Amino acid sequence: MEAMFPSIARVISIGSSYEGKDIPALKLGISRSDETVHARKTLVVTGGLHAREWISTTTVNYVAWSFVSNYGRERMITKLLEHFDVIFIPVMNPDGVEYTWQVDRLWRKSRQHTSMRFCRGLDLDHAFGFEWDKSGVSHDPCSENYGGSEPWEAVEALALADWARNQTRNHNVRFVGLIDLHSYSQQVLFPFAYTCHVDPPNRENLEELAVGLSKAIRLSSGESYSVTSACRGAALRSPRHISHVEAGGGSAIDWFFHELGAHFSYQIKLRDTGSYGFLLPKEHIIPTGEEIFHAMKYLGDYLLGNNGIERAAEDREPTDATRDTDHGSELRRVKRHR
Amino acid sequence: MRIRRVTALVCLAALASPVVGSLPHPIRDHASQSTSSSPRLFPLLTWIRDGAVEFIFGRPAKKTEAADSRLHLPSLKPYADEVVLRFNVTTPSQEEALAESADRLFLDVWAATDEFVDIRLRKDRISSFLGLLPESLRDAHRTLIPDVAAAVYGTFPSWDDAGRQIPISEEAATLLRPMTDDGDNVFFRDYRPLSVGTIRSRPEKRTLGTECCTDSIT
Repeated sequence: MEAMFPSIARVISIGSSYEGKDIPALKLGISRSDETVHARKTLVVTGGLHAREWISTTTVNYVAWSFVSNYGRERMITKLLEHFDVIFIPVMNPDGVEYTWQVDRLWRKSRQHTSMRFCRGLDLDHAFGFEWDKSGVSHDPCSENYGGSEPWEAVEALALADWARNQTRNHNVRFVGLIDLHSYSQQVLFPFAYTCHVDPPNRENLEELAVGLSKAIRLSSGESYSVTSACRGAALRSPRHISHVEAGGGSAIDWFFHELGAHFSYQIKLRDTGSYGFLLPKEHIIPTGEEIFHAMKYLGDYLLGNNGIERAAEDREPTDATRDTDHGSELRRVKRHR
Repeated sequence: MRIRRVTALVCLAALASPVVGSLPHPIRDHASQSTSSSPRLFPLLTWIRDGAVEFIFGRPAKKTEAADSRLHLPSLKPYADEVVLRFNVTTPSQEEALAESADRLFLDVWAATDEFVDIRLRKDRISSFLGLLPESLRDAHRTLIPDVAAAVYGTFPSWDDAGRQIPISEEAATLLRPMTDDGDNVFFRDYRPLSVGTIRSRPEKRTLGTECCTDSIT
Protein backbone atom coordinates (compact mmCIF):
# COMPACT_ATOMS: atom_id res chain seq x y z
CA MET A 1 0.00 0.00 0.00
CA GLU A 2 2.82 2.39 0.88
CA ALA A 3 4.48 1.69 -2.45
CA MET A 4 1.23 2.50 -4.26
CA PHE A 5 0.60 5.77 -2.39
CA PRO A 6 3.90 7.18 -1.29
CA SER A 7 3.50 10.25 0.86
CA ILE A 8 5.94 12.97 0.08
CA ALA A 9 5.68 15.01 3.25
CA ARG A 10 5.82 14.15 6.91
CA VAL A 11 6.22 16.30 9.98
CA ILE A 12 8.90 14.93 12.25
CA SER A 13 10.55 16.11 15.45
CA ILE A 14 14.26 16.77 15.78
CA GLY A 15 14.06 17.06 19.54
CA SER A 16 13.37 19.69 22.17
CA SER A 17 14.77 23.07 23.03
CA TYR A 18 16.19 24.14 26.37
CA GLU A 19 12.79 25.42 27.46
CA GLY A 20 11.09 22.27 26.26
CA LYS A 21 9.69 23.45 22.96
CA ASP A 22 9.53 21.01 20.12
CA ILE A 23 11.88 21.45 17.16
CA PRO A 24 9.72 20.34 14.23
CA ALA A 25 10.87 19.53 10.73
CA LEU A 26 9.29 18.68 7.42
CA LYS A 27 10.63 15.63 5.69
CA LEU A 28 10.09 15.42 1.95
CA GLY A 29 10.87 12.41 -0.12
CA ILE A 30 9.39 9.37 -1.74
CA SER A 31 9.76 6.25 0.32
CA ARG A 32 10.61 3.35 -1.87
CA SER A 33 10.45 -0.24 -0.78
CA ASP A 34 13.42 -1.20 -2.94
CA GLU A 35 15.77 1.02 -0.98
CA THR A 36 16.47 -1.23 1.95
CA VAL A 37 19.90 -2.09 0.58
CA HIS A 38 21.26 1.35 -0.14
CA ALA A 39 21.29 4.13 2.41
CA ARG A 40 18.81 6.89 1.80
CA LYS A 41 20.66 10.01 0.70
CA THR A 42 19.46 12.99 2.70
CA LEU A 43 19.83 16.74 2.52
CA VAL A 44 19.10 18.98 5.50
CA VAL A 45 18.07 22.64 5.30
CA THR A 46 18.12 24.58 8.54
CA GLY A 47 17.07 28.06 9.58
CA GLY A 48 16.65 30.03 12.76
CA LEU A 49 19.85 28.97 14.51
CA HIS A 50 20.28 32.62 15.28
CA ALA A 51 17.02 33.94 16.61
CA ARG A 52 17.01 37.41 15.05
CA GLU A 53 17.62 36.12 11.53
CA TRP A 54 13.94 35.79 10.74
CA ILE A 55 14.44 35.63 7.00
CA SER A 56 16.21 32.30 7.42
CA THR A 57 13.10 30.72 8.89
CA THR A 58 10.72 32.11 6.28
CA THR A 59 13.08 30.99 3.54
CA VAL A 60 13.22 27.41 4.82
CA ASN A 61 9.42 27.36 4.88
CA TYR A 62 9.13 28.93 1.46
CA VAL A 63 11.57 26.51 -0.15
CA ALA A 64 9.79 23.57 1.47
CA TRP A 65 6.50 24.90 0.15
CA SER A 66 8.00 25.31 -3.32
CA PHE A 67 9.27 21.76 -3.34
CA VAL A 68 5.90 20.39 -2.33
CA SER A 69 4.10 22.53 -4.88
CA ASN A 70 6.35 21.54 -7.73
CA TYR A 71 6.54 17.86 -7.04
CA GLY A 72 4.98 16.11 -9.99
CA ARG A 73 5.26 19.24 -12.10
CA GLU A 74 8.98 19.82 -12.41
CA ARG A 75 10.87 16.77 -13.51
CA MET A 76 14.02 17.60 -11.60
CA ILE A 77 12.26 18.12 -8.30
CA THR A 78 10.24 14.96 -8.73
CA LYS A 79 13.40 13.03 -9.47
CA LEU A 80 15.27 14.66 -6.61
CA LEU A 81 12.63 13.61 -4.12
CA GLU A 82 12.69 10.11 -5.49
CA HIS A 83 16.40 9.78 -4.91
CA PHE A 84 16.85 12.00 -1.85
CA ASP A 85 15.06 12.94 1.31
CA VAL A 86 15.12 16.63 2.09
CA ILE A 87 14.57 17.65 5.70
CA PHE A 88 13.52 21.24 6.33
CA ILE A 89 14.05 22.56 9.86
CA PRO A 90 12.76 26.16 9.95
CA VAL A 91 13.55 27.01 13.59
CA MET A 92 16.50 25.31 15.26
CA ASN A 93 16.30 27.83 18.11
CA PRO A 94 12.62 28.16 19.08
CA ASP A 95 13.37 29.63 22.49
CA GLY A 96 15.44 32.39 20.99
CA VAL A 97 12.92 33.06 18.22
CA GLU A 98 10.10 33.34 20.70
CA TYR A 99 12.22 35.76 22.69
CA THR A 100 12.59 37.93 19.60
CA TRP A 101 8.84 38.05 19.23
CA GLN A 102 8.14 38.74 22.90
CA VAL A 103 11.03 40.72 24.34
CA ASP A 104 14.07 41.58 22.25
CA ARG A 105 13.82 41.53 18.47
CA LEU A 106 17.62 41.52 18.20
CA TRP A 107 18.34 38.50 20.38
CA ARG A 108 20.75 36.06 18.71
CA LYS A 109 21.52 33.15 20.99
CA SER A 110 19.43 30.46 22.65
CA ARG A 111 17.86 31.02 26.06
CA GLN A 112 19.83 28.48 27.98
CA HIS A 113 21.10 29.48 31.40
CA THR A 114 24.82 29.98 31.74
CA SER A 115 27.19 30.31 34.65
CA MET A 116 26.42 34.00 34.74
CA ARG A 117 22.97 34.76 36.03
CA PHE A 118 22.33 37.85 33.94
CA CYS A 119 23.70 36.53 30.68
CA ARG A 120 21.69 33.77 29.12
CA GLY A 121 22.03 32.00 25.86
CA LEU A 122 24.48 30.04 23.77
CA ASP A 123 25.41 30.74 20.17
CA LEU A 124 24.21 27.53 18.53
CA ASP A 125 26.59 27.87 15.62
CA HIS A 126 29.52 27.71 18.01
CA ALA A 127 28.19 24.82 20.05
CA PHE A 128 28.80 21.77 17.86
CA GLY A 129 31.55 19.41 18.82
CA PHE A 130 33.87 19.53 15.83
CA GLU A 131 36.95 21.66 16.53
CA TRP A 132 35.06 23.31 19.33
CA ASP A 133 38.10 23.62 21.54
CA LYS A 134 39.97 25.29 18.70
CA SER A 135 37.39 28.02 18.72
CA GLY A 136 38.58 31.57 18.70
CA VAL A 137 35.27 32.68 20.00
CA SER A 138 34.40 33.98 23.36
CA HIS A 139 34.34 32.08 26.61
CA ASP A 140 32.42 34.92 28.14
CA PRO A 141 28.77 33.95 28.70
CA CYS A 142 27.74 37.51 27.97
CA SER A 143 29.29 37.42 24.50
CA GLU A 144 27.06 37.03 21.47
CA ASN A 145 29.42 34.31 20.23
CA TYR A 146 29.46 32.29 23.45
CA GLY A 147 29.40 28.61 22.56
CA GLY A 148 29.15 27.19 26.06
CA SER A 149 31.72 26.03 28.58
CA GLU A 150 32.21 22.76 26.70
CA PRO A 151 31.12 21.22 23.40
CA TRP A 152 27.48 20.20 23.11
CA GLU A 153 26.36 22.23 26.10
CA ALA A 154 23.73 23.84 23.89
CA VAL A 155 20.64 21.65 24.07
CA GLU A 156 19.44 22.40 20.55
CA ALA A 157 22.78 21.66 18.92
CA LEU A 158 22.97 18.37 20.76
CA ALA A 159 19.41 17.53 19.75
CA LEU A 160 20.22 18.04 16.08
CA ALA A 161 23.39 15.98 16.33
CA ASP A 162 21.68 13.17 18.24
CA TRP A 163 18.88 13.05 15.76
CA ALA A 164 21.31 12.99 12.82
CA ARG A 165 23.44 10.26 14.35
CA ASN A 166 20.35 8.21 15.09
CA GLN A 167 19.28 8.56 11.47
CA THR A 168 22.58 7.24 10.20
CA ARG A 169 22.90 4.42 12.70
CA ASN A 170 19.35 3.16 12.91
CA HIS A 171 17.50 4.41 9.87
CA ASN A 172 19.87 3.76 7.01
CA VAL A 173 20.36 7.43 6.22
CA ARG A 174 23.37 8.99 4.55
CA PHE A 175 23.61 12.78 4.86
CA VAL A 176 24.97 14.40 1.72
CA GLY A 177 24.70 18.04 2.72
CA LEU A 178 23.57 20.64 5.20
CA ILE A 179 22.32 23.98 3.93
CA ASP A 180 22.37 26.23 6.99
CA LEU A 181 20.57 29.50 6.34
CA HIS A 182 21.46 32.70 8.15
CA SER A 183 21.45 36.41 7.51
CA TYR A 184 22.72 38.87 6.51
CA SER A 185 25.36 39.81 3.93
CA GLN A 186 24.42 37.68 0.90
CA GLN A 187 27.19 35.12 0.89
CA VAL A 188 27.54 31.45 0.08
CA LEU A 189 30.06 30.05 2.55
CA PHE A 190 31.74 26.65 2.31
CA PRO A 191 33.56 24.74 5.06
CA PHE A 192 35.55 25.01 7.14
CA ALA A 193 34.42 27.76 9.49
CA TYR A 194 36.89 26.93 12.23
CA THR A 195 40.03 27.67 10.27
CA CYS A 196 41.35 29.16 7.07
CA HIS A 197 44.42 26.94 7.19
CA VAL A 198 42.82 23.60 6.38
CA ASP A 199 40.92 23.00 3.16
CA PRO A 200 38.14 20.48 2.92
CA PRO A 201 39.28 17.63 0.68
CA ASN A 202 36.74 18.46 -2.00
CA ARG A 203 37.31 22.18 -1.89
CA GLU A 204 37.37 22.61 -5.64
CA ASN A 205 34.04 20.89 -6.07
CA LEU A 206 32.60 22.75 -3.10
CA GLU A 207 33.69 26.08 -4.46
CA GLU A 208 32.52 25.30 -7.97
CA LEU A 209 29.10 24.32 -6.71
CA ALA A 210 28.96 27.41 -4.50
CA VAL A 211 29.62 29.58 -7.52
CA GLY A 212 26.84 27.73 -9.28
CA LEU A 213 24.46 28.41 -6.40
CA SER A 214 25.38 32.07 -6.50
CA LYS A 215 24.79 32.21 -10.21
CA ALA A 216 21.41 30.51 -9.85
CA ILE A 217 20.46 33.20 -7.37
CA ARG A 218 21.61 35.95 -9.70
CA LEU A 219 19.70 34.50 -12.63
CA SER A 220 16.62 34.30 -10.45
CA SER A 221 16.50 37.75 -8.90
CA GLY A 222 19.54 39.74 -9.88
CA GLU A 223 20.83 39.62 -6.31
CA SER A 224 24.54 39.07 -5.95
CA TYR A 225 25.79 36.55 -3.37
CA SER A 226 29.54 36.36 -2.95
CA VAL A 227 31.32 33.06 -2.47
CA THR A 228 33.98 32.52 0.14
CA SER A 229 35.16 30.20 2.86
CA ALA A 230 33.17 30.20 6.07
CA CYS A 231 36.39 30.93 7.94
CA ARG A 232 36.06 34.46 6.60
CA GLY A 233 32.48 34.70 7.75
CA ALA A 234 31.07 37.21 10.10
CA ALA A 235 32.79 36.63 13.40
CA LEU A 236 34.60 39.61 14.77
CA ARG A 237 37.83 38.40 16.21
CA SER A 238 38.60 40.19 19.41
CA PRO A 239 42.31 40.13 20.21
CA ARG A 240 41.52 38.72 23.63
CA HIS A 241 39.97 35.66 22.11
CA ILE A 242 42.20 34.90 19.19
CA SER A 243 43.86 31.54 19.43
CA HIS A 244 46.29 30.18 16.89
CA VAL A 245 43.27 29.33 14.83
CA GLU A 246 41.28 32.37 14.01
CA ALA A 247 37.71 31.90 13.07
CA GLY A 248 34.65 30.23 14.53
CA GLY A 249 34.84 26.65 15.75
CA GLY A 250 31.89 24.52 16.66
CA SER A 251 29.82 25.36 13.59
CA ALA A 252 27.02 23.20 12.27
CA ILE A 253 28.36 22.91 8.73
CA ASP A 254 31.80 21.85 9.92
CA TRP A 255 30.30 19.12 12.06
CA PHE A 256 27.99 17.84 9.35
CA PHE A 257 30.82 17.94 6.84
CA HIS A 258 33.45 16.24 8.93
CA GLU A 259 31.54 13.94 11.25
CA LEU A 260 28.68 12.86 9.02
CA GLY A 261 30.47 13.09 5.72
CA ALA A 262 27.92 15.55 4.36
CA HIS A 263 30.31 16.84 1.74
CA PHE A 264 28.06 19.43 0.20
CA SER A 265 27.45 21.59 3.23
CA TYR A 266 27.10 25.32 3.02
CA GLN A 267 26.13 28.24 5.13
CA ILE A 268 24.16 30.77 3.12
CA LYS A 269 23.81 34.27 4.50
CA LEU A 270 20.65 35.68 3.00
CA ARG A 271 19.51 39.25 2.26
CA ASP A 272 20.33 42.00 2.60
CA THR A 273 23.74 43.63 2.46
CA GLY A 274 23.15 46.08 5.26
CA SER A 275 20.29 48.41 4.44
CA TYR A 276 18.11 46.66 7.01
CA GLY A 277 20.33 43.83 8.15
CA PHE A 278 18.43 41.53 10.45
CA LEU A 279 15.40 43.83 10.30
CA LEU A 280 14.59 42.89 6.75
CA PRO A 281 11.14 44.14 5.71
CA LYS A 282 8.54 41.50 5.01
CA GLU A 283 8.50 42.40 1.34
CA HIS A 284 11.75 40.48 1.00
CA ILE A 285 10.28 37.23 2.22
CA ILE A 286 9.01 35.95 -1.10
CA PRO A 287 11.83 37.20 -3.32
CA THR A 288 14.41 35.74 -0.96
CA GLY A 289 12.52 32.47 -0.84
CA GLU A 290 12.35 32.38 -4.61
CA GLU A 291 16.03 32.95 -5.16
CA ILE A 292 17.05 30.31 -2.64
CA PHE A 293 14.53 27.92 -4.18
CA HIS A 294 16.38 28.41 -7.45
CA ALA A 295 19.67 27.76 -5.70
CA MET A 296 18.27 24.59 -4.18
CA LYS A 297 17.11 23.43 -7.59
CA TYR A 298 20.61 23.99 -8.90
CA LEU A 299 21.95 21.99 -5.97
CA GLY A 300 19.48 19.21 -6.62
CA ASP A 301 20.45 19.13 -10.24
CA TYR A 302 24.08 18.87 -9.27
CA LEU A 303 23.44 16.10 -6.79
CA LEU A 304 21.54 14.19 -9.45
CA GLY A 305 24.75 14.08 -11.44
CA ASN A 306 24.40 16.88 -13.92
CA ASN A 307 27.74 18.40 -13.02
CA GLY A 308 26.50 21.93 -13.15
CA ILE A 309 25.98 21.95 -16.88
CA GLU A 310 23.73 24.86 -17.51
CA ARG A 311 20.71 23.50 -19.22
CA ALA A 312 17.17 23.61 -17.99
CA ALA A 313 16.30 20.29 -16.35
CA GLU A 314 13.23 20.00 -18.58
CA ASP A 315 15.37 20.05 -21.72
CA ARG A 316 17.68 17.34 -20.60
CA GLU A 317 17.13 13.66 -21.27
CA PRO A 318 16.57 11.92 -17.97
CA THR A 319 19.66 10.20 -16.79
CA ASP A 320 20.14 7.69 -14.07
CA ALA A 321 23.64 8.91 -13.30
CA THR A 322 23.36 10.18 -9.77
CA ARG A 323 26.03 11.79 -7.69
CA ASP A 324 26.88 8.35 -6.33
CA THR A 325 29.79 7.74 -8.67
CA ASP A 326 31.48 11.06 -8.09
CA HIS A 327 30.53 10.98 -4.47
CA GLY A 328 32.00 7.56 -4.02
CA SER A 329 35.32 8.57 -5.52
CA GLU A 330 35.33 11.70 -3.39
CA LEU A 331 34.71 9.70 -0.29
CA ARG A 332 37.54 7.39 -1.19
CA ARG A 333 39.78 10.42 -1.62
CA VAL A 334 38.61 11.79 1.71
CA LYS A 335 39.36 8.53 3.44
CA ARG A 336 42.86 8.46 2.02
CA HIS A 337 43.37 11.93 3.44
CA ARG A 338 42.57 10.58 6.85
CA MET B 1 -1.60 13.50 -6.19
CA ARG B 2 -3.90 16.30 -5.12
CA ILE B 3 -4.69 14.59 -1.84
CA ARG B 4 -0.97 14.15 -1.21
CA ARG B 5 -0.34 17.80 -1.92
CA VAL B 6 -3.14 18.91 0.36
CA THR B 7 -1.80 16.66 3.10
CA ALA B 8 1.64 18.10 2.62
CA LEU B 9 0.29 21.64 2.77
CA VAL B 10 -1.53 20.89 5.99
CA CYS B 11 1.73 19.53 7.43
CA LEU B 12 3.59 22.64 6.32
CA ALA B 13 0.95 24.94 7.78
CA ALA B 14 1.14 23.14 11.08
CA LEU B 15 4.87 23.44 10.97
CA ALA B 16 4.96 27.09 9.96
CA SER B 17 2.33 28.50 12.28
CA PRO B 18 4.42 28.55 15.45
CA VAL B 19 7.17 30.49 13.75
CA VAL B 20 5.12 33.02 11.85
CA GLY B 21 2.70 34.50 14.31
CA SER B 22 2.72 35.21 18.01
CA LEU B 23 3.60 32.16 20.04
CA PRO B 24 1.51 30.52 22.72
CA HIS B 25 3.96 30.50 25.62
CA PRO B 26 3.76 33.65 27.70
CA ILE B 27 7.16 34.82 28.76
CA ARG B 28 7.47 35.05 32.50
CA ASP B 29 11.15 35.59 32.97
CA HIS B 30 12.49 38.98 31.96
CA ALA B 31 15.32 38.94 34.47
CA SER B 32 18.27 39.06 32.15
CA GLN B 33 17.03 41.68 29.77
CA SER B 34 15.09 44.48 31.28
CA THR B 35 13.09 46.24 28.65
CA SER B 36 10.11 48.36 29.55
CA SER B 37 10.69 50.74 32.37
CA SER B 38 7.15 51.78 33.29
CA PRO B 39 4.53 49.41 31.89
CA ARG B 40 0.98 50.61 32.03
CA LEU B 41 -1.14 48.75 34.54
CA PHE B 42 -4.18 47.68 32.54
CA PRO B 43 -2.40 46.12 29.52
CA LEU B 44 -0.19 44.18 31.90
CA LEU B 45 -3.16 42.89 33.88
CA THR B 46 -4.92 42.02 30.66
CA TRP B 47 -1.92 40.08 29.49
CA ILE B 48 -1.65 38.20 32.78
CA ARG B 49 -5.36 37.47 32.76
CA ASP B 50 -5.27 36.23 29.17
CA GLY B 51 -2.29 34.05 29.91
CA ALA B 52 -4.10 32.46 32.82
CA VAL B 53 -7.27 31.95 30.82
CA GLU B 54 -5.35 30.42 27.96
CA PHE B 55 -3.51 28.16 30.34
CA ILE B 56 -6.75 26.84 31.81
CA PHE B 57 -9.10 26.86 28.85
CA GLY B 58 -6.76 26.74 25.89
CA ARG B 59 -6.13 29.32 23.17
CA PRO B 60 -8.99 31.60 22.26
CA ALA B 61 -10.50 31.66 18.79
CA LYS B 62 -8.36 33.31 16.15
CA LYS B 63 -10.45 36.45 15.79
CA THR B 64 -9.68 37.56 19.32
CA GLU B 65 -5.95 37.26 18.75
CA ALA B 66 -5.93 40.36 16.61
CA ALA B 67 -7.00 42.55 19.49
CA ASP B 68 -4.33 41.07 21.72
CA SER B 69 -1.59 40.91 19.13
CA ARG B 70 -0.27 44.34 20.06
CA LEU B 71 0.42 43.13 23.55
CA HIS B 72 2.82 40.51 22.25
CA LEU B 73 5.08 42.96 20.47
CA PRO B 74 8.26 43.71 22.35
CA SER B 75 8.76 47.19 23.68
CA LEU B 76 10.57 49.53 21.31
CA LYS B 77 12.16 51.54 24.11
CA PRO B 78 15.44 49.59 24.18
CA TYR B 79 15.99 50.59 20.57
CA ALA B 80 15.14 54.24 20.98
CA ASP B 81 17.86 56.50 19.55
CA GLU B 82 19.88 53.55 18.31
CA VAL B 83 21.63 53.43 14.97
CA VAL B 84 23.70 50.93 13.04
CA LEU B 85 27.00 52.18 11.71
CA ARG B 86 29.19 50.58 9.08
CA PHE B 87 32.93 50.96 9.45
CA ASN B 88 35.11 50.31 6.43
CA VAL B 89 38.15 48.33 7.44
CA THR B 90 41.26 47.96 5.35
CA THR B 91 43.77 46.43 7.77
CA PRO B 92 43.65 43.68 10.40
CA SER B 93 44.74 46.18 13.03
CA GLN B 94 41.65 48.24 12.30
CA GLU B 95 39.51 45.16 12.73
CA GLU B 96 41.19 44.40 16.06
CA ALA B 97 40.68 47.96 17.24
CA LEU B 98 37.00 47.77 16.38
CA ALA B 99 36.65 44.42 18.11
CA GLU B 100 38.31 45.64 21.26
CA SER B 101 36.33 48.85 21.43
CA ALA B 102 33.04 47.08 20.74
CA ASP B 103 33.89 44.59 23.50
CA ARG B 104 34.73 47.31 25.95
CA LEU B 105 31.40 49.06 25.44
CA PHE B 106 29.41 45.80 25.14
CA LEU B 107 28.16 46.75 21.71
CA ASP B 108 26.20 44.54 19.39
CA VAL B 109 28.28 43.68 16.35
CA TRP B 110 25.95 42.82 13.51
CA ALA B 111 28.42 41.75 10.89
CA ALA B 112 32.15 41.61 10.33
CA THR B 113 33.84 40.85 7.06
CA ASP B 114 37.23 41.62 5.59
CA GLU B 115 35.84 44.90 4.31
CA PHE B 116 33.40 46.24 6.84
CA VAL B 117 32.08 45.93 10.37
CA ASP B 118 28.49 46.82 11.29
CA ILE B 119 27.83 47.89 14.86
CA ARG B 120 24.61 48.85 16.63
CA LEU B 121 24.84 51.51 19.30
CA ARG B 122 23.02 54.41 20.85
CA LYS B 123 23.55 57.79 19.28
CA ASP B 124 24.81 59.29 22.50
CA ARG B 125 27.59 56.70 22.66
CA ILE B 126 28.92 57.30 19.18
CA SER B 127 31.41 59.94 20.22
CA SER B 128 32.81 57.87 23.08
CA PHE B 129 33.08 54.87 20.77
CA LEU B 130 34.87 56.88 18.11
CA GLY B 131 37.20 58.17 20.77
CA LEU B 132 38.38 54.63 21.43
CA LEU B 133 39.20 54.04 17.78
CA PRO B 134 42.36 54.92 15.88
CA GLU B 135 42.34 58.09 13.82
CA SER B 136 41.97 56.18 10.56
CA LEU B 137 38.61 54.76 11.58
CA ARG B 138 36.99 57.85 12.98
CA ASP B 139 35.83 59.08 9.60
CA ALA B 140 35.59 55.69 7.94
CA HIS B 141 32.00 55.08 8.87
CA ARG B 142 28.53 55.82 7.66
CA THR B 143 25.05 55.27 8.98
CA LEU B 144 23.39 52.11 7.76
CA ILE B 145 20.23 52.31 9.82
CA PRO B 146 19.42 55.72 11.31
CA ASP B 147 16.47 54.50 13.37
CA VAL B 148 16.67 50.98 14.75
CA ALA B 149 13.36 51.30 16.61
CA ALA B 150 11.52 52.04 13.40
CA ALA B 151 13.25 49.20 11.61
CA VAL B 152 12.33 46.81 14.41
CA TYR B 153 8.74 47.94 14.34
CA GLY B 154 8.68 47.46 10.60
CA THR B 155 9.41 43.78 10.85
CA PHE B 156 6.31 42.95 12.84
CA PRO B 157 3.04 42.14 11.14
CA SER B 158 0.76 45.03 10.39
CA TRP B 159 -2.15 42.82 9.41
CA ASP B 160 -3.76 40.09 11.43
CA ASP B 161 -4.96 36.74 10.15
CA ALA B 162 -8.41 38.12 9.44
CA GLY B 163 -7.00 40.84 7.20
CA ARG B 164 -7.50 43.71 9.62
CA GLN B 165 -4.80 46.26 10.18
CA ILE B 166 -3.16 46.00 13.58
CA PRO B 167 -3.36 49.47 15.13
CA ILE B 168 -0.11 51.16 15.96
CA SER B 169 0.64 51.01 19.65
CA GLU B 170 0.84 54.18 21.67
CA GLU B 171 4.46 53.51 22.47
CA ALA B 172 5.32 53.04 18.82
CA ALA B 173 3.45 56.18 17.88
CA THR B 174 5.44 58.11 20.45
CA LEU B 175 8.83 56.66 19.58
CA LEU B 176 8.45 56.76 15.83
CA ARG B 177 7.34 60.34 15.41
CA PRO B 178 9.13 61.98 12.49
CA MET B 179 12.40 63.63 13.28
CA THR B 180 12.82 67.16 12.09
CA ASP B 181 16.45 67.98 12.43
CA ASP B 182 18.65 65.03 11.53
CA GLY B 183 20.41 65.57 8.25
CA ASP B 184 20.93 61.85 7.79
CA ASN B 185 17.26 61.09 8.14
CA VAL B 186 15.80 59.96 4.89
CA PHE B 187 13.51 57.44 6.45
CA PHE B 188 10.01 58.80 5.88
CA ARG B 189 8.04 57.22 8.60
CA ASP B 190 4.83 58.88 7.56
CA TYR B 191 4.62 56.51 4.60
CA ARG B 192 4.38 53.46 6.81
CA PRO B 193 3.72 50.61 6.35
CA LEU B 194 6.34 49.98 3.71
CA SER B 195 3.97 48.49 1.21
CA VAL B 196 6.30 49.18 -1.63
CA GLY B 197 6.39 47.34 -4.89
CA THR B 198 9.56 46.71 -6.74
CA ILE B 199 12.91 46.33 -5.17
CA ARG B 200 15.44 48.48 -6.91
CA SER B 201 18.26 46.78 -8.67
CA ARG B 202 21.14 46.78 -6.26
CA PRO B 203 24.19 47.21 -8.52
CA GLU B 204 23.82 50.93 -9.06
CA LYS B 205 23.32 51.52 -5.36
CA ARG B 206 26.54 49.72 -4.58
CA THR B 207 28.41 51.63 -7.30
CA LEU B 208 27.30 54.87 -5.76
CA GLY B 209 28.44 53.60 -2.40
CA THR B 210 25.12 54.27 -0.76
CA GLU B 211 23.01 51.61 0.80
CA CYS B 212 20.57 53.70 2.64
CA CYS B 213 17.38 52.31 4.04
CA THR B 214 15.48 54.06 1.32
CA ASP B 215 16.50 51.35 -1.08
CA SER B 216 13.12 49.79 -0.73
CA ILE B 217 11.06 52.96 -0.64
CA THR B 218 9.83 53.99 -4.05
